[in-house]
Amino acid sequence: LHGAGAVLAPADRGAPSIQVSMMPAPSATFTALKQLQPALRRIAVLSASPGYDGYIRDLRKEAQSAGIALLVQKVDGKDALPDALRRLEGKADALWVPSDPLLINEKNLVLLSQFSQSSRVPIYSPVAGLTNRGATATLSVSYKEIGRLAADTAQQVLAGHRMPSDVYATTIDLAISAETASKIGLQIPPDVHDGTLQVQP
Amino acid sequence: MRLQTRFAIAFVPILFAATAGTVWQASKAVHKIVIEEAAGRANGRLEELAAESVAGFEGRSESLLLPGMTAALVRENALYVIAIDPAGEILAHTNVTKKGGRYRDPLGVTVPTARPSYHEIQREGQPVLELSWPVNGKAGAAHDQAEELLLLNASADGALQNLGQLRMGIPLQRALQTERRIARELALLLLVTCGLLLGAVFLLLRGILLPVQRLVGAAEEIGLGRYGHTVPVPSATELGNLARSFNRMSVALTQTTVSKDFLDNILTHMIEPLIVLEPDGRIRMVNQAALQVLGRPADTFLGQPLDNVWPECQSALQQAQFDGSVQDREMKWVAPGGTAIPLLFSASVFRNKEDYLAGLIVVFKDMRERKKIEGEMVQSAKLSAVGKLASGVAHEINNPLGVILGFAESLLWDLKPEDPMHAPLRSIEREAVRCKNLVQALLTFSRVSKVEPEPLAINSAVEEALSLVQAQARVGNVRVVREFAPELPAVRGNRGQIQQIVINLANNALDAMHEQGTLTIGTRLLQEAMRSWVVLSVTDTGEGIPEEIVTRIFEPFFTTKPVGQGTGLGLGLVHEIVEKHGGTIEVESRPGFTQFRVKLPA
Repeated sequence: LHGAGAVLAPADRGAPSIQVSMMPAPSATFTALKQLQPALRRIAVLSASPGYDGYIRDLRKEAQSAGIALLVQKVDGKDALPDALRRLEGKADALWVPSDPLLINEKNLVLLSQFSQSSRVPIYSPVAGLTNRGATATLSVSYKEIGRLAADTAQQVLAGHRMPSDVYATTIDLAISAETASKIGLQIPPDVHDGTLQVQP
Repeated sequence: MRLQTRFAIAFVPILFAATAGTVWQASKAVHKIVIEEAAGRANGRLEELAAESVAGFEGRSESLLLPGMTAALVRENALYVIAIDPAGEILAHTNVTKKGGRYRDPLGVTVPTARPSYHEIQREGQPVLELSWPVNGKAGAAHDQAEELLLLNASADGALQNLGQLRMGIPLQRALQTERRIARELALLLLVTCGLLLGAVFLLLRGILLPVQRLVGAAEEIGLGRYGHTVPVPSATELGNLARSFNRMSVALTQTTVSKDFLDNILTHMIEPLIVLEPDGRIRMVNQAALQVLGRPADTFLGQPLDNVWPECQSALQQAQFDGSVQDREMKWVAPGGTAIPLLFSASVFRNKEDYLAGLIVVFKDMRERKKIEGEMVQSAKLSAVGKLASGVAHEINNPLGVILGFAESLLWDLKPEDPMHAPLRSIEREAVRCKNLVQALLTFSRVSKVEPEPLAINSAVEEALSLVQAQARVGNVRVVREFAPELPAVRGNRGQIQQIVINLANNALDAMHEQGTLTIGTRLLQEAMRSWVVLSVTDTGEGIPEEIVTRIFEPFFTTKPVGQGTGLGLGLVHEIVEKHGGTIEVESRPGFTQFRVKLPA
């Protein structure tokens, strides 16, 4: 489960369930990232928990559409991040860190921050608040938006519409750390600033 | 140069240099404190981390080292934390990309020290405090580079070996900003303190120098001969004692030495005119009396050679320089307006202690009054002589004249007008009458000396006399104006003689106006030098008295009237009467205005 806000399970246990993701919609994510970093061509995604595979799959699909090469770097185990980062050195223009509990901890945040600053690679994440811990920008989805999305999806299901197995929010809360961006030499376009982004899929 | 200026030039740079030095030293001290404080705190953390990291060093395990290093980095807000083995290889780095590399000390030491230390470095243009802390473990527990380890310490269990060291970079930017702010505040505080100190010192200096400046000013005054100049005594300090002593000295000088002021005052206010010359003849000083006589302001004389402004005195000055003095030379000074003033000129040289010529003193007397008195004395003597002569002659002539006139009149009674002797006898009678009138006038003139004074009101006496000339005035078409001051004090005199003055003066005035004009008779009171006078004035609008004869009009027998119309004794008689009454008479005349003023003591 990639940070599921809600799982809609029908009465028939044999029927497929619909997962309302806490991640922003991949298409909206890349659209927002292109706005933040117009020169973005390669992005690495750190993957630790298997529950995020579906999400990463959706990311890969949308990356192709957005013209961005997606590199998935597996982080096997709690001490594997240093090696993973060393492998990524020079291979990505940005790093996407999902809200994976195996990745997001005190030590790893320090290592990610140091890597970002020394390699001048911005870190983006859907976890709100990480701009205070070294992320260049966060693209998060609020609980209110997830609730609204779950309600809409339920209505659609009850109305008999067919829904994808994963649904994503397209309304994103964008937070940018100007200080971190400045440290790594990233020029944020002047028309992009903190606030809610309503991105059409 | 003033002492305050000197002080400012000398002291202000020193003060500012001292301030700058203090700020610099204080900044250094603050910097040291800031660094030591930061190093002390971080060293404590590094010491703990070193203790926790022994296993990581022994196992050269990044995964064992990083948790403690990242925690330390977060707690100390450090830039980086590095674990280095004794050979300089990086075992772990919070920037994981650096692992496995060779650590290069920023100060150029390839092999890191095994002792705790810290130093300031620059990393990417930022000031950083880099601390180093050794990590030690038991001998034999380290890996195969153990022989390179430095033996540091020994315990009962065995020697401790150096396994490497931890390095931590602390950003100093904020600390240095704080340090700079402290330095700025300190500099400002010191500048304000210095400014206040400087102001206080200047005020103190002023307080000290003001009495000194007053003393200097007073000393200069005394130097110019103005003794007796004193200064305020500021307080019971040394300066106060000095001022008190100075005042005593100044007063003592006044009492023992003739001051220039005193001499100036004497010379300036002395009654006699005086001029002081420099040795070269230039005028050094002219007193008030001299200026009054000469009629010109002082600045037209001072600094000028006297013989330039008064050429007539040149020879007298030369003689004075040659002989030492010259006395009582009669000279004339032509005053502004062209009036020649008779002066009696004297001059003498004066010499200094070394007997060199120090200057000349010129004194002179205004001779105008003296000349006038001399003239009056001559006139008086003349009149007196004439009076005596007239009295004798009148008595001797009067009797034969009476016989001639008596026989002539008797013969005329008997002769008819057709008689050839009638006309000659009539001529004899007429000339005899004229002689009789002349003799009568002479007798009157001679009798003036016999004044029997009595208090009389002058206005009524004058009014009675005017009644005698009123008819003649009407015939001559002359208007008579009376300007009598009321309530005049009585004068002591002879009523008839006072009236004679009025009649004589009025008759002369009527003759001078040729049948028309205004005759003004006035009286008034005059207060002059503690004396009271009654002034009788007779004014006419006639042709005036020519200037060349005005000095002779009071002489006996002087007349401008045709022969047979005047005896020439009228004004002489007036003069005699006035003099015998202790009064004076003066005349002022110009065409269209002639006024006789008779002053009689009240």
